[in-house]
Amino acid sequence: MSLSRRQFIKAQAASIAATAGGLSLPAASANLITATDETSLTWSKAPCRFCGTGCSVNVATKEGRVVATHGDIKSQVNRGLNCVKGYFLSKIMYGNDRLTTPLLRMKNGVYDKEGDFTSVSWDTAFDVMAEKFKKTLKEKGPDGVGMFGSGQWTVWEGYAAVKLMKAGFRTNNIDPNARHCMASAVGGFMRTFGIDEPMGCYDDFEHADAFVLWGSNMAEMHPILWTRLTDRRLSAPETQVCVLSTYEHRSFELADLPIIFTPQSDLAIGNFIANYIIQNNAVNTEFVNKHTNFRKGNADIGYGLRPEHPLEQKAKNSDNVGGSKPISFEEYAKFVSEYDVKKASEISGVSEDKLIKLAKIYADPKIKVMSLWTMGVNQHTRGVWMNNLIYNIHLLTGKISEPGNSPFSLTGQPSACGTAREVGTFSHRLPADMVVKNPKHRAYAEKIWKLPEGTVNPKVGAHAVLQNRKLKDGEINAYWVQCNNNIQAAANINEEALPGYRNPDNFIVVSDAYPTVTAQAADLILPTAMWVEKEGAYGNAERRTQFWHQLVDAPGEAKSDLWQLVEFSKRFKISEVWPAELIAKKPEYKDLSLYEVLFKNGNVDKFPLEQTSKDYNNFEAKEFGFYIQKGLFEEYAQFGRGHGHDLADFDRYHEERGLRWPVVDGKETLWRFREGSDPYVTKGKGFEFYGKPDGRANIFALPYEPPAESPDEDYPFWLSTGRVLEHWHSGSMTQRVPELYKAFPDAVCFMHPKDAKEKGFRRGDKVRIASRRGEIITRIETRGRNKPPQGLVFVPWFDARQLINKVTLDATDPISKQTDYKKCAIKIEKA
Amino acid sequence: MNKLSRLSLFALIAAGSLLLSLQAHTEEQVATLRKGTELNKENPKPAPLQNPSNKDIKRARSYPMQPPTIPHKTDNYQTNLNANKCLSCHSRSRVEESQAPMISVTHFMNRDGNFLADVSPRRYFCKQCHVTQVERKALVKNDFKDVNEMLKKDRKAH
Amino acid sequence: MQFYNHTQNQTHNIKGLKETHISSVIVQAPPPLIAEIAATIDRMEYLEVAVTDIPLAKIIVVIEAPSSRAMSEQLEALKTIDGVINVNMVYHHVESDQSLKEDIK
Repeated sequence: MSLSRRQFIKAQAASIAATAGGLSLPAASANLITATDETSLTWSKAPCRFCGTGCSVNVATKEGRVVATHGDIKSQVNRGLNCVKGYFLSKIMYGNDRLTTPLLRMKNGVYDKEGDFTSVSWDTAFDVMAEKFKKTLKEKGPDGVGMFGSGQWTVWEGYAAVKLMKAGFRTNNIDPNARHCMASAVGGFMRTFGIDEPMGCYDDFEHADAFVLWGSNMAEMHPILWTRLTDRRLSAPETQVCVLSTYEHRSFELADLPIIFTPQSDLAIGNFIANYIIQNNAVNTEFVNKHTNFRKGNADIGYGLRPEHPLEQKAKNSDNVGGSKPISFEEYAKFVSEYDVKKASEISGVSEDKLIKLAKIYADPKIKVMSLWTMGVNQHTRGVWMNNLIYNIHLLTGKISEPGNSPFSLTGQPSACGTAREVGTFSHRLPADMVVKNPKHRAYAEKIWKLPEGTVNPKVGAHAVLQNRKLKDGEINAYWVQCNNNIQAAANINEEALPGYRNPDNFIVVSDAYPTVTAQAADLILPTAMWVEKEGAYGNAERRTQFWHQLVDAPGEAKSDLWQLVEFSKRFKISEVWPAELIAKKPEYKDLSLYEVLFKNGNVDKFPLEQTSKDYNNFEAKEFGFYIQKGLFEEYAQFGRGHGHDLADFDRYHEERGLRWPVVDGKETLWRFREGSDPYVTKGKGFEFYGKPDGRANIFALPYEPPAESPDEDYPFWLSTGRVLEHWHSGSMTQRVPELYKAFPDAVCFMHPKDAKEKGFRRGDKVRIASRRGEIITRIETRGRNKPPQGLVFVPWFDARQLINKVTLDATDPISKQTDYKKCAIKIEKA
Repeated sequence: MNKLSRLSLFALIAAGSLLLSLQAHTEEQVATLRKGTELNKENPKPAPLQNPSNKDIKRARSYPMQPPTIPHKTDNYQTNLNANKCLSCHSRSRVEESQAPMISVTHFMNRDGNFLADVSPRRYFCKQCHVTQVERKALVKNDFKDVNEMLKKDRKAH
Repeated sequence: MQFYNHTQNQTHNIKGLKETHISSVIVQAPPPLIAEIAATIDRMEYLEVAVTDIPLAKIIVVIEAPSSRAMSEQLEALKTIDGVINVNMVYHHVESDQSLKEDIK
C-alpha cells in the first residue's frame, strides 16, 4: 500500500485536532485519510519537564518512542503554547550517552574509590551501596548518612525518599536542590503567612493593571507566563510593566518603567515603597487593622558561612536569625521612615523620579498589582527578608488574594512546589508544612506511617550547603544524590563539594539519566528513567498538581528513582537500622525489612495492580505487585486533607489538566485567604490568613544590610549568574538537544562595552574570571541579550565545561540557608 | 599513566576478562559534556564566539509542530513596545514585499482560541520559540527518530 | 481585515516551489445542526470533514490550501456558517507541493 506524505500529514492534522477536542478518530471513518495503524500516533498528556510554570504538553508516541510533542490546547496554563524548550521535549530522552547500566568505580574487580567506572549489575550496585550505608549507620548513626534530592522528583518519588530517610534511616539529612531555588520563598511565606505557596494563581495575569518584576527575567525563565503578561500588556494599553534588575535583560523589552539597581539594594527599595505608602496616606487601614500584625525581625544575622568565618563571628544574631518581636504600627512607620526617597536612591543608584513612579503603582488603590519574583529575590543573603518586604507592601495596601492583586513567587523547577515543598523533602520538614521539630507533627507522621512513637528524629538535618561541608569534614559518609546536578550547581565547589565527594571516607551514589559532572564525581552511578518513562506527578507554582502516565519504557537497565528507593529499602532489616529501645515498642517489626515496614504497610500496597491503566505500562507497579504510585499518593494526601492542603483523589488527576489545591468538595481553589474564594476562610471574616493562629499576616520591620562580599580593589567586578531561555536544569538535558545547544552553545561573560574597552578586551576575547575561591576561562560578549551596567558581569551556569560555581560564594541566607548566586566579587583578566 | 596503558593493565589484572576491561570507563570519559577536562581543571580553550548561521535556507523540522529555527542572523533586531523587527518581514501584510514566510495562522489565535485580524499579542516575542543556530556539530549525538524514520523502519522490516 | 485576491492565491517558497498549507480545526456547533453544517463544510473549497461527533458537538475539519491567505479566508468563512459557535485551529503545517507528493511508504 502506498501512502503519500500529503495523506500522512492530513491524517496527523486530523488526529491532533481530534485529540485536542476529546474526540476519538475511528480508523475507517475519515473519507479523506488512509488512517491505518501504521501511521497512527498515540497522543497523551504530560506536564513539561522543565520549569515551574507547569505547561501541559501533548506527547506522541509510536512503537515505544516519543516522536513529537506540542503545547496542550486544553491546558489553562499554556493554551497550546510552549517555549522553545517545551517544543523540543521530544528529544530530551534520546541523547546518545544515556546511562543504561550501573557504573561502579572498580580496581582489580572490586570497588575502589580511585578505580575506573565499570559496568555492574543492579544487584552488585545495591550490594556495595547497602554495605556502605550499613557500615556508616553502625559507626556514626543516622547523622552519618544523607541524601540530596530534587524539585524534579515526582511527588511519590520525593515522598518515598522522605519515608526511607526520615522513617527508615531516621535521619533528617535529606534536602532537595530546591534549597538553592525556593528556600527563601518558603521562609518568606512561613514568616508572613504561616503557610507555604502563593495565595493567587496564574489567572491574576489576565486581571492585573500593573506588573512589577523584582529581579525576575520572565521573558527567558518563564516564557509562557511571559506570553500571558505580554498578552495583557499589549491588549490593555493602560496596563504597565516595571522591571527591576541588576542588569538589563530581555524582559526590559516590555518595560514601561525599567530600573537597574545596585546588587542587594532591593531591601532599601522595598522599605522605601512601604514608607511612601505610609507618608502618602495610602495604607488600607481597615485591612491592616483587621488582618495584620507588625513585628520587628532580628537584624545583623550573618551570612550562613562556616561558623569560624570572621563575618559570622562578628554577627550579633547569628544564633537567632529568625527571631522577631511584636511592634505597633507607629513603631513600624518610624522604622521605615528612615528609607526616604533620597536614601533609597543613594543606596540603590536608582533615580528618585523612578523610585517614586514605582511606589505610586503600589500606592494607588485603583491599580491592581501583580509582583513577580524568583531567583533574584530568593538567591539572596537576605532572601527571606526580601520576600517579607514584598508582602509588606501588598499587605499595607490590602492588594492581596483577589484577582489581579497578587504577590506571586515564581518557581524554578517543575515540582519545587509539588514535591520539594508540599511533600517536605527538606531537612527540617514533613509533608503539608509540618516540621520535625514539632512533637505533634512527628506524632502525626508516625500515626499515618504506622510507626512507633519516637521513630522520626527531632533533630533538624543538614541542608544542602551544610551537607557538602559535612562531606568534606567526613561527618556524612554515605550519600545518595538523585535527580540533580549539584557539582554544577553548588557554590564554591573547589573548597567544599569536590573535596567532599572525593573524600576517601565517603561513598557517593549519583542517580541520573545522563553522565553529568556530579556523576563523574561519584563512586557509583545509577542509570535512571526520566520524565514519561515512568508514571509521575508534578506540582507547579500556582498549586496545580498534574499527573502523567508512563508513555515509553526506559532504555537498557535504567530504572526510575522510585524503583531505586523502594528496591533499596529491601536490603535493610529493621534490626539493622533502629535502636533496641525503638524496636521494643513494636517488636513485631524486628525481623521485617524497611520495604515491608515502609511500603508494604497496608497503605502503600492498598491498591491492586488491576487499578493501573489498561492503556499504559507501569513498570514500578508491575515490579512491586501493587499500584505503588497510587498507594504512596493516597497515604501522602492524608497529611494535608482537612488541613488546608487538600488534594483530590488520585484517579481524578489522570483525567484533568491539573487542579489547584486545596481541592475541597471536588473544587479547586483559585485565590486563598479570601471569603467566597477559599472554603477555609471563616464566614464573615472577609479575609483570613489561617496559617497563623490569630488569622493575621505579619508585616515585618527589616533593615537594609550589606552583602557578604562586595567588589574591592583586588576583585573589582560584581558577578551575577543565572539561566538562559534555551537551557534548564544545568543543561544536562537541553545541551543534548542539538537545536537548543546550537541556539546557545557556550557560556560567555556578558560585559558592558565600556568596561571591556577599559580592560582592553574585544568581543570574543578569552578571559579568566577569578574570585577568592576559583576561576573559569570563558569569552567576552559585549552584545546580545544581556546588557549589564558598568561594574557587573553576567555568566550563565548551564555549561558543564565552564563551571562558574567554582567562582561563586557559598554565603547563604541565614534563615532559609539558600545560596546567593547573584553577587560576589571577581576579577577578569585576559587568558 | 595514560588512558591506554591504564586500561591494558586493568585487563591483565582482571585475569583475562576482556569483556570487563572493555566496559571500564576512565574517569575522563564519564562526564561527556566536559570533553575530557577533569573536574578540578579548567578547559584552557573555550570555543570561539560564533555568530549564528546566516545562510537563509530553511531547515527540516523534526515534527510538524516544531517551531522552525531562524536561518538568518538577528543581531540588533529590535523587539519592544515600539517595534518588532521580525514582523516587518514575516507579518501578513509584509510577506509579499519581503518574500519571507508568513507567520503561521495559528499565531492569529488568542488565548481563548478566537482568530484576530493580526498576530496575537501572546505571540509577540518571536524568540521565545524561534531561535538562531550556529554552524557546529552537536555536542552529543541525539538518537531521536522522527515519524518518517519510524515509518521507513517499518517498511524495511516488512 | 485584508481579503486575498483569488488570482494570487498560490504562494511559493524561497526555491520557487508551490506551497501547500495543511491545518486542522475544531468547529463547535449545537448537536442538532452538526450533520447539516458538516455537509456544508464538505462542499467548501479546500475543506474536508474528518470526523463529526454529535454528542460532543464538534466537527474536525482538515484544510488543504495553496496559501495561508486562502486558508485564513476559509477559516473566516467557517465562522460565518449559520449555527457555528466557535472555530479553533489546532495545527498548521506548510510544505512544498513537491515533497508532499513523495511516497513515504
